[in-house]
Amino acid sequence: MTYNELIDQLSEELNLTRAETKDLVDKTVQELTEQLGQGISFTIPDLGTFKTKVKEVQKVYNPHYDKFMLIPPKRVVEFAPGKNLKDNLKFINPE
Amino acid sequence: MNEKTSFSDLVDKLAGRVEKSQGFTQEFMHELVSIIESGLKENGSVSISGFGKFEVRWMDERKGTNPQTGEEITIPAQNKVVFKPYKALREYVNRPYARMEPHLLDDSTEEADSQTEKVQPPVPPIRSEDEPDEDFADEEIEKPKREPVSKKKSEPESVSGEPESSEDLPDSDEIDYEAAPFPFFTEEEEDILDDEDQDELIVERKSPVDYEPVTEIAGEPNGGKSAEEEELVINFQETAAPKYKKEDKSHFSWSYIAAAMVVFLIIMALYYLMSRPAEVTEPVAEPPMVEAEPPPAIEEPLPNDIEETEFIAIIVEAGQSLWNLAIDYLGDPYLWPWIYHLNSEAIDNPNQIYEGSDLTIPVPADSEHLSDSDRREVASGYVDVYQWYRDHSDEEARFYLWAAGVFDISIYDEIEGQVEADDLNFARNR
Repeated sequence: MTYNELIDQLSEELNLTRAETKDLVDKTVQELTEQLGQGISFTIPDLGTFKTKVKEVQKVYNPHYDKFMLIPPKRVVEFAPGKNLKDNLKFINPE
Repeated sequence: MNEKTSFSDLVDKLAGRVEKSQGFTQEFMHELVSIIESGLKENGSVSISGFGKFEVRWMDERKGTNPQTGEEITIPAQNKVVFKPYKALREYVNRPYARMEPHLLDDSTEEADSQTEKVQPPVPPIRSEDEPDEDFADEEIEKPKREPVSKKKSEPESVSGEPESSEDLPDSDEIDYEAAPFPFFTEEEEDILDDEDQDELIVERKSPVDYEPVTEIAGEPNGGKSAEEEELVINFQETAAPKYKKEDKSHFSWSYIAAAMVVFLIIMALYYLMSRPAEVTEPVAEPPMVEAEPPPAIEEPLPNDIEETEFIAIIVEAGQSLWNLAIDYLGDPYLWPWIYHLNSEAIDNPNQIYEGSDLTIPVPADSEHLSDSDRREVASGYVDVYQWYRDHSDEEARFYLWAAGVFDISIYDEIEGQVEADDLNFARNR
């Protein structure tokens, strides 16, 4: 489902114009992004939990230069689907 | 760092932001979630622009161990829901670490580095108070400053393997970079080290995940002089762009100026690259990397240009298409002809790109409000696609011509006479 399809469906369900719906979704995305940017995790019922995790420094071998290199730490987003979502989709075969 | 906010708090904040009632906001969130779920059921993926993509992935049966008992169990085949964050989210979340770059280890320093590698504090992001805070959070100017401090505290906990080394960790401000082998260099430190590491390429891997955009640009470090060096300079200019982009997000005041300069350099570099594309890069099979020698600090005052489109180079991975690349990098799948236009030498059939080929990808600051010149680029891309389909006598071709006009109507006047008059009439009157 593309972003546009999502907006279409959502605006239908909520009885709003496309522009209004889009604005809502974009602001939601901003809010969630900000929370994650502050390292705050949150759970959206029926969807799942978003959190951030700091990945430690890694030392990996780089065959191109025949040397080891250090990959700096980075903070990444992690998503764990909620139980309902997981169970509902477990054996579905989307095509 | 592991703070959690409850859903109701989240709804409160969101309600404030969208200026609606909490009841409405809550209903909206539930509706959003149920549409995401039904989208996953029907299509197997749901994309939310600027945020990420939810996907259903089929996992085959596999072996695992029960973490409690250590006993081996069989995990049956089933679907898994994964979330792939898009670039904007990834970069925003990674801001505290954005300035750190991978570092190639010398054999001699390997030992020393391996001891210290776990305990490097992130470089604290600095931003000046009066700077505009583009997309997010005007009110959170103070917050990022706190982050690195608390992160430092949390790091030793997570490094359970080497607790002793973390005890010696000096405050980030007090590290003596010259004395201690410090694996990650900021701009200034790299300048110092540059003299010693003349021949060594410091590489940067931009991607947190493997499907990610990455760039490989490498010259033989000790290769021939003039031509090769020129290319290194060019490559460096091109790849410096994403780096500066990241720093913009960390809000370094000087970076706005530098970014403007770099954008200019990129345009020059691209022009140069287009004129001799065959010699530019050397495709490599391994995880690609970016040469990231530090650019010279640029101090000249220039007009602020940060909203300009950046260009990055990537290597095509298996399974990618122009459409997907446009979703991932440009934020809008319908901008894909832009990539086609920029890479007309590398791509013939717009439906087919090959694993391992080098592409230049534009990364617009805001895919929904492209500048006029960017819209012109997209339109030219659609004209290119039109030409290709026309050359392959596909009746659908004229629709691409029409699409070109959607992005920049003035392009019709320009191409009049170069394209089939019928098609142009069709596009104009549609």
